[in-house]
Amino acid sequence: MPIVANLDVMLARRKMSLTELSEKVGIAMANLSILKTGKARAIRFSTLDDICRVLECQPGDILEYMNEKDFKKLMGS
Amino acid sequence: MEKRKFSRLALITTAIPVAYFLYIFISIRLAKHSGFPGNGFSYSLPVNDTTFRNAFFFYDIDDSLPHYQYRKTEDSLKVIQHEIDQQNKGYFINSAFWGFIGFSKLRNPIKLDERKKTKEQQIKVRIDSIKQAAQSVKDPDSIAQLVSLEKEIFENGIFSKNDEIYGNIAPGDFDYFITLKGYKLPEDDKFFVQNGNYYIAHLVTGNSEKKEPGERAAHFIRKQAKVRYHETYNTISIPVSKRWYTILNSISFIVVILFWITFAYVIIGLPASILVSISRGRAFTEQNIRDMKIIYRFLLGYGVLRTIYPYLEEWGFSEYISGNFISTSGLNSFFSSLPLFLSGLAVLLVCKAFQKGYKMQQEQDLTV
Repeated sequence: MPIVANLDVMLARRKMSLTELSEKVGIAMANLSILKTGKARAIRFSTLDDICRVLECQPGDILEYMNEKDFKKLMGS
Repeated sequence: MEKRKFSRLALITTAIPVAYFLYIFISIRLAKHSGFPGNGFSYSLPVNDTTFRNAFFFYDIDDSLPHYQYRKTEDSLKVIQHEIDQQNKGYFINSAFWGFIGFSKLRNPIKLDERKKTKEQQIKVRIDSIKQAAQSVKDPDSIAQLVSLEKEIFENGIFSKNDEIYGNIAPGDFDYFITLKGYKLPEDDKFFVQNGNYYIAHLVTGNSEKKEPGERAAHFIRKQAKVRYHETYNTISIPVSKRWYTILNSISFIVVILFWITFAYVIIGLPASILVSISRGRAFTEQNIRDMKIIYRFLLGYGVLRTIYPYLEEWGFSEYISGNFISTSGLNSFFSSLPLFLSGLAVLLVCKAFQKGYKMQQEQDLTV
């Protein structure tokens, strides 16, 4: 599925660590890691709402649609 | 309220077996009304025919004889009939059936006959010599001793004969066979052994009507068969060399042992492993799905093999079977495999449900 979560980019922009985000959003580190590494199959609106609120951004800033070629290149497969 | 809808696929798949059973039922009913199984004709068969080595031996004793004489004659004829039956069936030394195929070791009828004749001759000579000696003896004690000796020789002789029939003697005295089950001769045909060869007395019916309307002329012809036939067990035995007998018997034994180990693993081991896994809260796992796939593939595969095996066997051994023997398997092989198919399908359904469950669980686990 060529949709990637640019969570690490937004975290860098806001100078925030994953642990800090985890604490503020109330989502386990393991789940945020799944999202960050691109292994996630789905994301709840409530999760997206929490992340966008804490990082002060739009859903489009976190999620990006890529073409297959670029996605495969990114994922290294 | 939602209107209940029937699945078209379910209806079609139900209709097929129902139609099949209706067809069978109607066929049987129609056959019954048309005079099944004789088609309305009777044949005048030869009885007491000695042409086919008494294959049709049937005794009919004069009932005006005194009772003791009648019983004596009847006993003698029974012994003869038993002996003929026994020779036609063969003297089994060893017999084993490994799943689809069996192996039999029988006494060679010619060598057995030779041994019996020799033994009987020896007993006769010894008893005659005792009888001669008894004539020249007057002393009652000596006569009693001779009578006792005669009795002993006779009984020991009989015992030795039985020992030769059923015991182990020379390895060259045996015949070796591969046995196939589920074959019979047509109703009026008879199998018999003569001079170590196998024959079938085959009924040939004429078209012309004889004597009375509805009765047809019939006679028997002798056909040489390549195999032995056992009418009680409906088996045919194909002669093989001792070497092939040993090789095939050993291979079959190993295959059967391996099969039963696999069967036990698939039918007991894997379900137990799945149950333990589910009880520990790990229901929708790749391992469980893999195990279920093995179970249903094994059950369905074994069912298919059991169904088609009689046809494969008939084709493979057509040289020995065709023209003489009728397979009794028919659709029985399918019906006997039905529990395998049904349980295989049940496991397949559960497996599909688990596959769906596994997918859903994966999605659930990877939803943030």
